[in-house]
Amino acid sequence: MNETELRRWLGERAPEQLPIDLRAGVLAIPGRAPRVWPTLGSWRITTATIAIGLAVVVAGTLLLRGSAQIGPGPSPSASASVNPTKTSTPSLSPTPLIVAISSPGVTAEATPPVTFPALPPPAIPIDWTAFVSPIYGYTAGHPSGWSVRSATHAAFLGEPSLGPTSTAFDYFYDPAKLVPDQYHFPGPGAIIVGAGQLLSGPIGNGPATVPPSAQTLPYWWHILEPCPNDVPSTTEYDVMVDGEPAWLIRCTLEFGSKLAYAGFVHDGKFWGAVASVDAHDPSYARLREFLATFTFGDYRASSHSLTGPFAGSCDMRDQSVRAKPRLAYRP
Amino acid sequence: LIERKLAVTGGMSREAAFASLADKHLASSYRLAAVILGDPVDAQDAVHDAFVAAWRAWHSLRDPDRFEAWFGKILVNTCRNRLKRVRRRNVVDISHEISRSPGDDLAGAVDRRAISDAFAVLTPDQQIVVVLRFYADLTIDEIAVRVGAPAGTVKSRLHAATGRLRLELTTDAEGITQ
Repeated sequence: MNETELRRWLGERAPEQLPIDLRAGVLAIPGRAPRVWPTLGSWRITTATIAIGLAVVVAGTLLLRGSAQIGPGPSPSASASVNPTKTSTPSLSPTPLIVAISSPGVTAEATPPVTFPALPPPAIPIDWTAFVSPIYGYTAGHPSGWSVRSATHAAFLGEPSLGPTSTAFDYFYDPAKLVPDQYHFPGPGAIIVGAGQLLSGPIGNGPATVPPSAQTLPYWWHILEPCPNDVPSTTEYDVMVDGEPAWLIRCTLEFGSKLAYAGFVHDGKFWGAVASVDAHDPSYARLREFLATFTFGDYRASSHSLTGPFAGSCDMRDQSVRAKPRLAYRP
Repeated sequence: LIERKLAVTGGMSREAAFASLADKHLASSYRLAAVILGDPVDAQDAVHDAFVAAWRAWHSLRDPDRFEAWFGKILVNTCRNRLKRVRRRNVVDISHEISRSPGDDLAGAVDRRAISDAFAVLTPDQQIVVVLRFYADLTIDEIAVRVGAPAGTVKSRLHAATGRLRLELTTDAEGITQ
């Protein structure tokens, strides 16, 4: 090998095109607070993480050991018409923005408003199969070749059995990618869905009670799941789920694996969907396709409130908490 | 202080100044990260993370003309940290490395595979100096600024890296001939 060959080989590693979503994401950075919230960061399955993760991301934060592309979501139906959503003034602009929310005593920088793109109403593609969750009541589609392992009970605070053995989540997966272990755990590309009212009650000892909403989800996420190593994830607002604004959060994990989370609130309940992502699906197309088919149903889980070990860390009067800028949806 | 800040950003708000400089250097930064990391998706994450870090440390940039070197140091450090994590992976997709290009001969594809294997043996610090020297065409002094190490250390790393590459490729060639 000579120097010329080495130079040529290095040059071949350089991609020719700049991803459009990377540019949009970078240019949106000044819209954040000076200290960006730590977000989920690198995911590690520890006892504490599992317990806290369930409390917040009921859907499967727990499972995959191991970041969101910007761009238009999938079109589940070519004939579907664009329908105004239930939220305020949707925008067709797909540009995701991350903004800071100020809390008492905190002055956040002025930031542009977040807008959500209008999407077609949920529709299940012809070659997909509809699934109605027996526990959570929602309807969603999945590729016809996929299997579903449905939940047998709703997730609750203190869920004792998480991970592969948990039966509190609906698992959508390609049976060909089952992990060949004793749990037959859904492998790469699987989507896990769960819901709960874990965030609906009064939280902490402070006087301020913040109801669950698209605005407050990131706050609780930040409080309950502090980033273990301060590796920033990316959070975007470019997803709507059955008319509800949702967070799409990309998280780079250990060993270079990635997870994409979608978090949203409907009827006082927090919902979460999570998908593992590999290099072949960097735009989380599968998760977006799934979310585009999602329709809320009738889900009447009992209400929980966050108390006990979480209460102290959720005290709105906690200066260490209040001093941290956090993200929120601002219509 | 305000006057100094305005002077730094040429009268623009710091948000506008950041966006302008980021946009200007984004493509080259992305390519450099991709060459260092060998994975466009990882590079995308690294570049984003680096710009987040840069925004957080924006106050430390005193001269916008030095943005490239200032940000380059942040980017290289981000890639270095990521490389150290990624090195724990056992499986590396090298299919793109050995795919043949139009007009390419089989020997060329094998050469690329051999270079890829040899490059993977280098430490993250060695990989970075090789990329900065032979891809980015930086001088030793410029590399020293990027990696935050003395020029002598950079020289040493570069010497060790090229020697290791040569050794790995020689061994590989002998293995093929046998």
